[in-house]
Amino acid sequence: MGSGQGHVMRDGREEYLLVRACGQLCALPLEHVEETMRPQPVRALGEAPSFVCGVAVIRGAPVPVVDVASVLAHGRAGTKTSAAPDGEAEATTRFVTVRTGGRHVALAVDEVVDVRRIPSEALADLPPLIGHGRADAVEAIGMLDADLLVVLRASRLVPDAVWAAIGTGRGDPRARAGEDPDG
Amino acid sequence: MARHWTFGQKVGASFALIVALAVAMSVVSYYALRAVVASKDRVIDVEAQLLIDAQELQALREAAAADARGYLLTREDRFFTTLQASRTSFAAVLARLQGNVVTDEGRRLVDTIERTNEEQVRAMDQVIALRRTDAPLDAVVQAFDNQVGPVRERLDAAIQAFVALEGQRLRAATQASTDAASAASTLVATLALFSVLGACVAGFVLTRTLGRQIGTAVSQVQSSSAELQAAATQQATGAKEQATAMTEIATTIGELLATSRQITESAQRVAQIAEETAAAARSGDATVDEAHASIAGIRRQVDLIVGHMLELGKKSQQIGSVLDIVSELAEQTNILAINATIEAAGAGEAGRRFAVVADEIRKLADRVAGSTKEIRGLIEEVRSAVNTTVMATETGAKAVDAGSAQFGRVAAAFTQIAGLVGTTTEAAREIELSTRQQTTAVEQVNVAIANIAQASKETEASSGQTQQTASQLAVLSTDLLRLVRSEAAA
Repeated sequence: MGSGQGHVMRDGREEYLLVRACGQLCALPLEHVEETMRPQPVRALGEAPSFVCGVAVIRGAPVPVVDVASVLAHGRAGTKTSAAPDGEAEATTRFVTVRTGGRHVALAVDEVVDVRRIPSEALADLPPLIGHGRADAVEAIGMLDADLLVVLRASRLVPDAVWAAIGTGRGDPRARAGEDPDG
Repeated sequence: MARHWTFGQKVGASFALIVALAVAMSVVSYYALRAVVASKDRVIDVEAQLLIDAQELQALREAAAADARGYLLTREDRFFTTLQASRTSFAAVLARLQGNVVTDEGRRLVDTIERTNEEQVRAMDQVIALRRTDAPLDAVVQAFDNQVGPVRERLDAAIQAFVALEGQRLRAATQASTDAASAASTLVATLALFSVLGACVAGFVLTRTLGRQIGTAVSQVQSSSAELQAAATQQATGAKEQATAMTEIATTIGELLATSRQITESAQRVAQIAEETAAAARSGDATVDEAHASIAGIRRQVDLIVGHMLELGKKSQQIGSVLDIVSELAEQTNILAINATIEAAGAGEAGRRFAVVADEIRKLADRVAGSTKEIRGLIEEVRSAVNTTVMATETGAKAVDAGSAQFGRVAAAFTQIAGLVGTTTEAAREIELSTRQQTTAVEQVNVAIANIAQASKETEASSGQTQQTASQLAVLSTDLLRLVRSEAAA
């Protein structure tokens, strides 16, 4: 996934899972999404960035939990253009597990909105001025029904140090658990 | 002390003084007269008798001498008999003299006369005896001259001396008696003079004292009569004013009478209204009791409503619990549907139809969730409404309790009102009765005032009369003063 991700996205990944965090509508490529679930108990992790809540045991494996709202807030720290004045108060109601290169990350979001097919024309690359810091977690932005849409890049959400701290390698937690949590 | 004596006492004292002087003068005159009379009686009875007896003795001696001479000359017994009688009388007179004579000189002279007489009788008897013997006359004369002559001279001398003594004593006694009478006359005259002087002094003092006191009194009477005149004038003026005031009072009392009658009528009306009020209060009391019962019913109904409302709240809560389950199921369904959609997307074309079904299921779950949300909102509203209703009902119950208490107080107030109205009725009747009595009393006062007005007029008339009398009294006192003080006449 590197610099040529936008093109790849337009080619085949047209379906997204729409979530809302901190009032901001976000889109996750459906091919990375594993499942949605209710929030699980989270254990705090030492020396983790602020946007990493901790580690939750999901299907028998420790999975880092990333607060999407914090990520978006870090990304917008320099701009001061808050797009979600009333979204901060909303509590996390869903965990969305995504898989990136064999690793699983649980995203804490406020709401799972829908599964939507979004045309590639509706999305655009992030402008260069704001493409620094945690902005690498944002793949693209666009408009959906007059609402700002942020397409998240799941593979960049968790720094490598966190992975090292967890000490868990790649693998499918679902394969190790051997069963569906919702089943 | 005499200053405080009354006129009667003073006049009595003066008369007593004069009478005492008169009595003293009378007593002194009486005793002086008696002394003079006794002195004169003594002069007449003792001294003069002694002189008479002495002169009778001399006469009897001369008679006896004459009889003796006669017998000697004639020798007739007739002379001798008279001689004997003269001798007997002489002896009797001499014996009387011996009993009456008081002086030693007189007694000695009487004794001398008696002895000399006895010698003379004996000498005479010898001569007479001689004559009887037929002796010569010369001899007899001789004998007579020798024997009888000297004795008879001594006897005559003694008798003469006794007569002279008694004459001297008689003159001395007469002189003493005259002196005593003169002294008594002087004393009586002096006493009479003193009596006259005392009477004059008493009269003067009495006249002066009485004149001064009566004059003072009359002056006071005069000034008093002047004051009385002024007072009578003032009284007449006052009586006139009083008559005027009485007329005004009579008018006022007439108005008061009319007012009293109006008060009586008003009190009657008040009593009537109070009775009606009492009836209304009793009726109000009954109404309040009914309202009290109604409020108790309302209280019970409110309690029932509260119970029902609480029951409704509980049921709402139960619905909420059921709704929680439904909501949970809907959420779970939503998650499952999303996951199914994700899985269907992963399955590619094969999962396309499944994805549609999953989407439908998700939409249904969303609709259920929305509905549960609405229902939850409605339930919340219902619970809120129930709470509001319960609170309102509680407030209503409290209000009902307060109203009940108020009604209780109102009932008590009605009872009190009824009692007070009873008291008011009683008081109004008493007022009516009292006012009637007052009216009667005022009528009596009216009559009395009329009498007083009449009396005032009479007082006015009598004041005029008093004034006139006072004037007459003033004139009279002036006249009296003129009678008492001559200088007042000027």
